[in-house]
Amino acid sequence: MADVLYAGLEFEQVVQKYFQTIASVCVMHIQNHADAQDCFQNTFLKLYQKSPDFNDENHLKAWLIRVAINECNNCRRTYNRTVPLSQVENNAINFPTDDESDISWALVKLDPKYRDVVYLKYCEQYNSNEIAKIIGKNPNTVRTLLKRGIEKLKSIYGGDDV
Amino acid sequence: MSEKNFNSISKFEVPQEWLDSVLSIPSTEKSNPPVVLFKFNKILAAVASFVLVVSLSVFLFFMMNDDAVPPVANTESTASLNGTLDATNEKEPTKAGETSNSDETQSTQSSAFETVFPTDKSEETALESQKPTKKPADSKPSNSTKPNETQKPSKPPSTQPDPTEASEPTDEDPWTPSNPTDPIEPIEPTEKPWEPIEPWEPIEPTATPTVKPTVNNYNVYVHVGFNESLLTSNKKVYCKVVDSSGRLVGDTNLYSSEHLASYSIISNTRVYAKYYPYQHNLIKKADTYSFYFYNSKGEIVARSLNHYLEP
Repeated sequence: MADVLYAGLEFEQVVQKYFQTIASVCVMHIQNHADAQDCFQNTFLKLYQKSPDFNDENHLKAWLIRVAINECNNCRRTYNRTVPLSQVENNAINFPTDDESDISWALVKLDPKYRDVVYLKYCEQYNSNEIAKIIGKNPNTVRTLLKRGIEKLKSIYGGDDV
Repeated sequence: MSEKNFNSISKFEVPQEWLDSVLSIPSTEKSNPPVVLFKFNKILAAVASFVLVVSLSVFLFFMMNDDAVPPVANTESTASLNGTLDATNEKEPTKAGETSNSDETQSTQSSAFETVFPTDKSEETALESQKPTKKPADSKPSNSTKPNETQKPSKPPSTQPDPTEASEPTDEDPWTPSNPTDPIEPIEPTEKPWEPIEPWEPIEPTATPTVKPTVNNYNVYVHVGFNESLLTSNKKVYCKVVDSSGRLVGDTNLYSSEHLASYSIISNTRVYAKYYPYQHNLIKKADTYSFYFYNSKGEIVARSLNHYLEP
């Protein structure tokens, strides 16, 4: 398996290059260290097991983000109902609220369907068409979700210009 | 939005253990996935269903065909089988040289069959070996020491044994003569040694059963509910009798005592309404009657149709 390349990159290079992005996606979706780590691992495990063919590195990155989002959704769907509340509180990831410019805490409170779009737009700098390809939706739908998501995000963190 | 950022998420400090666990993935050997049967669960379910249906069909087939197997004790069927066997033997072509051995051939061929279905002949042989008093003159061969009746007059009377000695009980076999040259008169059987087993036949009824109900004890029961409190409640139930032409029988006042029925309970929970049509002499001619049960509001609660009653 050492000879397998992913868009011209070896597995370790892929991990070193995209671990921050995948970890951010997992943490954004699941505010729990253990579950986020599971999703993080599963994402790269699927890359290693499936070894799909990628056109370029953008394709590889989009694929990893898509898989990470799916893993997080699966994890939320299956594990959140059975994890005791005390365990969640112990492993919870807390985002600082002292920095007024950092509104990560508001993003995690956003509805998941808006959260992905806002994150991909403002953190990963994707445009609407690229986001549409990643999450598998129509570009116009993505634009609508983005607009509504920003409004909801403003209402969460208390922006006056909602 | 330009002033805001998501640095806590986008610059999340990934723990080193996360990276270590991911980087260790290639070092773990890629094992071949085990052959899991649940991948073929549809095929397995289809095969299992087929096997189940076939086994059940075979089981039911043999269970339902128990009547086709002739019971051994049934002499009629055994006789018919023997007749079939004899007919089969008769149809077999016989050569001139085999004529003398035909009985032996038949007995050899039927020996296997007789082990399963013993014939009368074999029964007789078995009984004769156990009960020699049955027809000894016919069953004994001519060269045996027991003479038949045709030889009896030719024997001198002086050679016959003393009747006084014969009356005394002895341990010797009566068929074994003390002197081989002395003929022994066969002992006539005093009673029938064995009763033939009569073939079982179903007892057919000599007369057709009467389907008419007992006139004096004919109550009409209908199920009216499950609540046992009906028995103690004041809810009355009435019954009107209508003959086959649709005419009301009895009093035209449907709430008179003549139409009053009573509650009865047959099982633990079922409450029945009972009406005795002969109580008020309503049945005056043989006809088919229908009984309609209704409450004090006139609502039909139950009905029982087509009762053939005679006065």
